[in-house]
Amino acid sequence: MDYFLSVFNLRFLLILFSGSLIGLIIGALPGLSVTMATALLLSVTYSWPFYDAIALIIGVYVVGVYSGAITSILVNIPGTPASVATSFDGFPMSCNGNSKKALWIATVYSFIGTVFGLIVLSLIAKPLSKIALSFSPIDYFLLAFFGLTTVGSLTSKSILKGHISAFIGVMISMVGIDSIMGVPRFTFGSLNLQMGIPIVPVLIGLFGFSEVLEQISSQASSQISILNNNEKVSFKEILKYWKISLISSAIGTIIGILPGAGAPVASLLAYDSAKKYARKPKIPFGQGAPEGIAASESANNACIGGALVPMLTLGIPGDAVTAVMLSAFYVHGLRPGPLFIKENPQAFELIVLSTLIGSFFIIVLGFLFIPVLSKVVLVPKKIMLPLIAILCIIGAYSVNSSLYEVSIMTVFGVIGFFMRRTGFSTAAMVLGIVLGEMMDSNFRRALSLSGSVRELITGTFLKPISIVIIVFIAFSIFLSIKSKTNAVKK
Amino acid sequence: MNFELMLSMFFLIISSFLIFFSAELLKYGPAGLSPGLFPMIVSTLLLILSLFWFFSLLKKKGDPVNNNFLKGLWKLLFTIILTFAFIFLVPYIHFFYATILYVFILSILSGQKNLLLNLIISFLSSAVIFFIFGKVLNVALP
Repeated sequence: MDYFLSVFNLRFLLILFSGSLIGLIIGALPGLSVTMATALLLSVTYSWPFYDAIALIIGVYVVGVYSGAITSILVNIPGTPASVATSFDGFPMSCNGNSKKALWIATVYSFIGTVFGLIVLSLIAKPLSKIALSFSPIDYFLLAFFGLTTVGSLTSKSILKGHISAFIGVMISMVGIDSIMGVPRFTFGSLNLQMGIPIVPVLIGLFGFSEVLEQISSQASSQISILNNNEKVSFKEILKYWKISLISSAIGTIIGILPGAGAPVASLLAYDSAKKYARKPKIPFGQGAPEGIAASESANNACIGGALVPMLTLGIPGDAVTAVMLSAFYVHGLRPGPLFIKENPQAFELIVLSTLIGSFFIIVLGFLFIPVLSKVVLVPKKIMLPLIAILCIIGAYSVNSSLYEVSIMTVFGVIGFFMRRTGFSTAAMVLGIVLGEMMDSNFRRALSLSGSVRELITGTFLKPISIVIIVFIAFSIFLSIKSKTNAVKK
Repeated sequence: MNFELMLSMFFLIISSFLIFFSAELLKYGPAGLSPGLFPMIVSTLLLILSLFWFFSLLKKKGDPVNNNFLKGLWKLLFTIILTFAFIFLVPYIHFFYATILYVFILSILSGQKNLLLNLIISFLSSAVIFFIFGKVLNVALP
């Protein structure tokens, strides 16, 4: 009885709501990450009771992942890397006068994704964590390679240009000190480049700043997006995409379970699978298809439940935020691992319940703020564009408190501008950047573990997990070629 | 000359440079762990794609220069110079004053013609940004 009172008392719910509100603001602002916020809160909550500290951090985590969709949709600047895929259809939908609908789709399907991940966490955490533990470096490499095969679905025009963009992205990810041998790669003697090219300024540049440059150069209309005063949001219509959401949530949960894979990978893979599942959407993908938003947001929020699986059952963080949460556990004297659920059932149930309540707060905050946020599009372009540019600068600067990141952001803004003008896909480049390091390090680890390429290839085909991923890769390539062939015939 | 052909040649040159720099890295570490191995594979694939693109374009007739590519180029250049000027000036004048200047000039580029209104909006928006980010959210500002 005391235990349940500790969950449902007003103070606990207020703390959880405060965390959710912080997450809403932090997640929406490009350059401010949920990881950074949770790390700061770790020091703030050091002396708090464990349940209060976890409530605050979980509130930030759950709503922070969702709120990255807000700026993705309204101004084409992903608030978090996990929301990149949301901008592919979210921003065009906003430009078409459906910003409210786009925001509600993101809200509802973020909720569904979170709940799905939680159900998986509650029911099958232990067996899933054992499968995750058996992933070897070659499996991670194959998974990243599978991600690269989805490039075709990210490019509406030229698949060749899409792959060139992706490979350039992979090369960009390798700038910096090599993680295995400690040797500088492609740094040309620059100390700044030795730190690598950070992804957040790249994202802000490619999506946000390049949009500012394009709008200033073209000056086609007086507003960035249109506010449709007659826009009516029907929840029956929003809930139509539940099948895609379930598939995407499953993808997000599985990817979340794999340590190091992360929500950006999950949302991009889910977006690709949505394109294959919804063969004839009313609005094509990339032009405002609601299915695209549903897929991306379900997957990135389902990752939350997935990432908690290895953290709680093995003591291995599923992503950066769960790594910080793990520190919170240690600070408060708890040891996540194989016996955690058995020895601390109340702590486990509290985490699940906090995440569930946090997911309801997504809906509550959406209800409160979407009518206000959707009016942002009313601001005239001549006022909005400079403010977006400043937001890009602040976002890039806040990563490392350095003007170097602002320069990176500007350079990639210019690159993104020219990529759009010449038919190259910025999304494919981002995919390459996200997956590049994962492919590189795991490929070399796999090669060094097996001793030779021949042993690596023969060993791979004897492992069930590797075979399953290879089948997915072959299927993905086959479907990409088939859809492009059909498009050419039309 | 075909615009797309020029682009493909550009990528041929880029991928050749990447192969060269990757080859330099191959000397570090054993073959399987060399930091140059994966960049070499990817840059070779990039070269193959660029060659394929180049030769497929040679078969086609020449297209005129991509007119859309040149649209608004002077505004683009001005915005880039303005942004780098902002980055350069911020350490010398306060972020707040640099932002006022940046927003003011960029608004003119975006089509704002009323200079007085522009000045007021630049001042107010910079003040709001500075207050919200710098004081309320305690975000590090340049």
